[in-house]
Amino acid sequence: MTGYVLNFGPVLQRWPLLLDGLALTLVLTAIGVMFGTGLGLLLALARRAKAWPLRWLARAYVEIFRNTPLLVQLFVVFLGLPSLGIRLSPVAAAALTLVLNNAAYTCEIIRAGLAATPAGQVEAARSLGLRPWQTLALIVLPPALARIWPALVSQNVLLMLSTGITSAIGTQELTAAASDINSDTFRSIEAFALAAAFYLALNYLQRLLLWALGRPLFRRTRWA
Amino acid sequence: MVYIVLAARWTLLLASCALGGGVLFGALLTAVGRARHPVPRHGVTLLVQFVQGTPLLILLLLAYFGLSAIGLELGALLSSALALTLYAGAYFSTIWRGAIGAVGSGQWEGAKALCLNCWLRSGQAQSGSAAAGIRRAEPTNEGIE
Repeated sequence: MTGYVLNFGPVLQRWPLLLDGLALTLVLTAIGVMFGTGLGLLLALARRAKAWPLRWLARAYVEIFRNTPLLVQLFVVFLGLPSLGIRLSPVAAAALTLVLNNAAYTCEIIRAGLAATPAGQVEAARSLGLRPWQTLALIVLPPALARIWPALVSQNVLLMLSTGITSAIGTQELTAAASDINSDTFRSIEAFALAAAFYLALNYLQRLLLWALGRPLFRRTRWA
Repeated sequence: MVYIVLAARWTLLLASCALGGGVLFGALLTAVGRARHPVPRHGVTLLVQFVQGTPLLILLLLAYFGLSAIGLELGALLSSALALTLYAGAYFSTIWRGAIGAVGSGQWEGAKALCLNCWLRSGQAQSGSAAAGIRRAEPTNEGIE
């Protein structure tokens, strides 16, 4: 370990590259969070459906996506689907994979929240004459989401951190930008430390944002 | 096909490094994180937050390129094992800290009343508790791999 002098100059000189990377990371995260959570909710409902084919399909989906690496899923979508005639750009393939992947994890989290609903509440709703969808939307879902909100936030932060993996299929996001800067300047510690700092900041920002979103959303339910 | 099966050896090797190293490092972090002195406690929190707030890919790249830039060439396998150990350890320690934190204070007091020292307290009397805490954490542990 010789005296290594940190020099952020050459790295900071390429700030437009980093900024573009940051923007794409944000876009991928936003798509993954919104559509992933939506699809996850649908999957969670499917896993509790009365029809067993629906239940088993959702189960199989979750098992497949949770037990294979994200990188392999990316390669299947980006390199495998073209042989079926579906050709996606790197960014589209990355966004699609992130949504599909996030949905599987979100599904299990939301399912846990739904499963924790006391049976008496559903029975009470039914005896008051609420329709099944009303029971779901008014009685079951709000406290269920409030219960699992912290876990949901954690999962979505993990999703944001895993967007870096999509650089493997050529999306120019933050990790790819740092990699490019590293190969341009050979300032590896500086480039990756800067990227790490960006991710760290994004992590706190996202936590804050989702927490702030959850507060008014669950004001009426008891939420720790 | 043979190639992919042979490649799985490295996956297995790295996974066991991450598991073994992660358990040891995670246990260390958990123990230090419960220290009475605030400095080591906050140090652990800082380290864990850094590792958990950074993508694994960045950690891997830092361990490989970053360490070799300061003259510490570990090679691909060793630096990945190092990064994975760090990563798994941070997550394990959070899970276990939560599990131990969930052990009722009455159980600790009960152990103290039975005149068990610190280690026995977390070892024997807690075979129902700390171990129960670990057991409580087990389903989450699997998810890390």
